[in-house]
Amino acid sequence: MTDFEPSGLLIDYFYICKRKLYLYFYKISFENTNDAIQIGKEIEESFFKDSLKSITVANSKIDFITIEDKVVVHEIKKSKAFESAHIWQVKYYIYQLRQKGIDSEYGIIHYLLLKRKISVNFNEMDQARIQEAIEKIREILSLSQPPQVIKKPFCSKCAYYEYCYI
Amino acid sequence: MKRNYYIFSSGRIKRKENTILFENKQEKKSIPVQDVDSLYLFGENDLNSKFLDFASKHEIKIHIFNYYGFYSGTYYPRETNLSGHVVVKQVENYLNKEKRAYLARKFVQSAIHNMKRNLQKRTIDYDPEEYLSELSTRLEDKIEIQEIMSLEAAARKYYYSLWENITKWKFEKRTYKPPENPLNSLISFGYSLLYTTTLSEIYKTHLDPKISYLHEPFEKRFSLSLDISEIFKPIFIDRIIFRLINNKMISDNDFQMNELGVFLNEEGRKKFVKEYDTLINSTILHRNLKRKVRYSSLIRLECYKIIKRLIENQEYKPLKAWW
Ligand code: SF4
Repeated sequence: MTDFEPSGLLIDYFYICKRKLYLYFYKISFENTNDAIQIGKEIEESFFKDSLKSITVANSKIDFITIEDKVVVHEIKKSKAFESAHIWQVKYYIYQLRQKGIDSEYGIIHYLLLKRKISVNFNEMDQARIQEAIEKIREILSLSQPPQVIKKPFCSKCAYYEYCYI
Repeated sequence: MKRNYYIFSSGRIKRKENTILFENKQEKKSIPVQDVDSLYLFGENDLNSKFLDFASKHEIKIHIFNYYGFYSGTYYPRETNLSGHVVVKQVENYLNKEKRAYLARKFVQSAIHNMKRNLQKRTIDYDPEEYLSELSTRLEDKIEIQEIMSLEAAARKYYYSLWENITKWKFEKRTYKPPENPLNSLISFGYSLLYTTTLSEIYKTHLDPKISYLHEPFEKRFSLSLDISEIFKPIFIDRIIFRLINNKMISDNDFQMNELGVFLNEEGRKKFVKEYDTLINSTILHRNLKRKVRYSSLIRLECYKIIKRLIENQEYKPLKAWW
C-alpha cells in the first residue's frame, strides 16, 4: 500500500465516508436500488458524452479539461450535497497534473441540475493537505476490516445503506 | 422493477431484438428483457446459444424444471459482481472449523426459530415449542457439522410430525426421492422454488454460491443456496402450503401419481407458483432498515449480513421471523 496512488473517486469518498472508501476499494458494491445514482450516471452520459472526452491522468478519470493559459480541470456533479468532497477531488486532479509537470492551478465544478458552477483554486497549503490525505487513505485501506458505519442522515441515500444498516 | 417469468407451455424461446419471444402453435408472447430477473421453464422448450448469450448479457438466470416439476438445473450467467476479497474470506470461514460451525449453527437456529413461529400461529393442543427451543439451546456448543446437521434433522422431524395436525392431510414422514404423498410433493416442489430464488438473490451479491457452511460444498448443487434456504423454508414455503390446504385452494385433482411417485400436475404447479410469486413480490416493513422491502429481497439482505460477518467479523444475526 505504501506507494499506492488513489483515484480521484477515492479522494471524494475519503471526504464523504471512510467506510465507503474501503468497501468501494475492495469491490464490494451493491445492487443499485438507489435512483439517485442512476440519475447521476445518466446526466453525465447525456450531457457530455458525445461532445467531450474524459481524460485519464495517472489512475484518475477527469471528466474533461480545457486549456487556457494553464490547464483547467472540469468535474461534473449532480448535487451540491458533498461540495467540499468535490472540491478536494478537483484539487487532487490538479495535484496529479502538477506531479506530472503539467501547469495547472484552477478547476471548475459543474452542478448540472442546478445550472451552477463553482471554481476551485489550488495553493501550496493544498499540496501538503493532499499528501496527508493520501497517507491516511493508504492507512485505511490496509486495515483488516472496514471502518465503522458513520450514522449520518445522508446514509439513507447511499448505495451501501442496506449493507451498512441491515 | 424486475420480476420472474414462469413459462408452463412448451414451445420455442428466442431473442427478438430487445425482447424475449415465446412461441408455439397456439400463442406468441414477448417479454421486454430488462423486466426479467429470472426465467422459469416448466414446459419443454427449445432455445439456442444465441438466446443464452442474450440472457447472460442481461444477467437473467434460467431455472429449468422437468416434466414432473422436478428441478433439473439453472443456467447461471457469468458473474459480474466479483470481489476477490469476499471470496477469500468465504473460503477462510469454511476452512476454520470454529468459524464454519458458527455460521452453520446460526442457519439452523434461525430455521428452528422460524418453524416455532409457524407453530405459534396455530392452535395445537399441547406446547410444541419447548422441544424445539431445547434443540436450539443444545446447538450452542456444537462444533462438529455432523452434530449440527443431526440436531437440525431432529427439529425438522419433530416439526413435520405436527403437520398432519395442521393440515389434516396424510403425511407420515418426509419422503423426497420420490415424494410418496401429496403433502410431500408440495414440500419438494416448494423447496426447489425457494432454492432457485435464493440462488438468484445470491447472484446479486458477492457471495460464491458454491462455498457453504452447513452443507458440504462438494454436494452437487450450489450448496450455499441450500444453507440460506433453510432460514426461509418455514416462512415462505411452509406457510404457502398451509394456506393452500387450509383454504381448500388445492385438492386431489392437482396431483398426478405414477410409478415414480406423487407430483403436482400442471394445474397444481400453476396454483403453487401463483401463490409463491405473489408472496415474494409482496412487501414488508423492515425493522432495521425502516423501509419497505420485498420478500425476495429479504434473501439478498441475508446475504449482506453474511458478507458482513465474513469481512468485518461481526456477529451474524440471522433472520428471525417477527410476523
Ligand atoms: S451508508 Fe453511511 S456509513 Fe455506510 S458507506 Fe454509506 S455513507 Fe458510509
